[in-house]
Amino acid sequence: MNSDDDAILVRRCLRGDDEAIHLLVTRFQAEVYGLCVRLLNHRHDAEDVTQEVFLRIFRGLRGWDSRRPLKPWIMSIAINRCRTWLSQRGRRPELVDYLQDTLAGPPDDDSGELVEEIQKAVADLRLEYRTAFVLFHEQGQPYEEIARVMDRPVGTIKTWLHRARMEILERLRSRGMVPEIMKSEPEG
Amino acid sequence: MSCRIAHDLLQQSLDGTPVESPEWLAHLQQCTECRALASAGRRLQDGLRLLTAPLPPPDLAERIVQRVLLARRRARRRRLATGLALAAGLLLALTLRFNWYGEPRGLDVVPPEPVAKSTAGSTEQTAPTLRQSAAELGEVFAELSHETAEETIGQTSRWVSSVPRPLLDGFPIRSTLESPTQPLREAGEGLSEGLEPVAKSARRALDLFLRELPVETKTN
Repeated sequence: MNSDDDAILVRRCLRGDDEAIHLLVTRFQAEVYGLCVRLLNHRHDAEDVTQEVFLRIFRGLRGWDSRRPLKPWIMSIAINRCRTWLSQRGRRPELVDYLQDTLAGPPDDDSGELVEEIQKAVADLRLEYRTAFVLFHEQGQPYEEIARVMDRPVGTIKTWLHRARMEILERLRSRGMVPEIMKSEPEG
Repeated sequence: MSCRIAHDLLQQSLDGTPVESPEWLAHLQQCTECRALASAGRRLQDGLRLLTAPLPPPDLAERIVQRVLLARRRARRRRLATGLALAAGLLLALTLRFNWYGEPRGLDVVPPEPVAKSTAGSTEQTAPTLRQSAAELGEVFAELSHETAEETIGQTSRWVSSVPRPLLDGFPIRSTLESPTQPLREAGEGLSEGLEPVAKSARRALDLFLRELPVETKTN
């Protein structure tokens, strides 16, 4: 969907078209919810925040710059809400429920354990790194779009993502998830 | 090749860009640390392929839409109430001013044109009385409450018809919405909510009027 389509959809929403509101929610809810789950590490919190995000989106729809794509604007609202939610949640221990996630394929060998370790490692990253990692690896966003969403230069996003990966790789190593490699084993 | 360049190439491969560099492979064969990291990178890619994005609950979109529509209705009522309050306050203030003084203060320094008086003749317009203004205000309220009730009935009909029947089996909901008691109650709540600022404005206007009244009676 290009920004013209976005603008038409937004105009319909502003006119009070219920169907357009439904369409906008349906179109973006999976990505907003997915990001919220990863940033908050809790599904119920993520549901609440997702609802708040959409309330804010519709409240501020007149403020959206129609020359820019809609999605980065929506995702930046989601990130801000998650940040606020996390700061309000304060020192309360995080209720991690990522073990409910299902694997894309049938579990074999240590796949389940590997996925669990990756999720734990992602959950332990600092918020900026985690956001960049999730947007890149889980939502498939390019660096430029992540930079727009997070309102940072592309170079900063690259640095955050590289550091996030290094932390995860170190964790996988320390948790014994990386097999010993023979000296002659090819890589790449 | 240095370890730093090897790390950059590892990041590049994790970005999804294939790295075909014999120098890198040669470095990995020699450097245990970089080899372990590259192996961890491959495990990470395997894990990310297996990882699925969390799916939202099936009813989440509907819940969001309901909340958005509810918030929009409330905002509309607030705007309506504010506009109504301003209009009522203004109407009341003008009514009191014209009704008690006969004509606005300030105009008495400029005497009315005699020609205008003669041309106005028997069709000379008088300021509406307080009773007339109150009646007009009542009509406006009735019209607005009717509009709100109609809108609420319309919205509710749409929601009820969109809910699948099995979900409604456990609830005492009528198949049709001929009896509009619930929407009317909601409209009533909205109206009373809207009347609160009206009453405040009216009280304020009356206070202002009463504050000025003794001075005027003395001069008269």
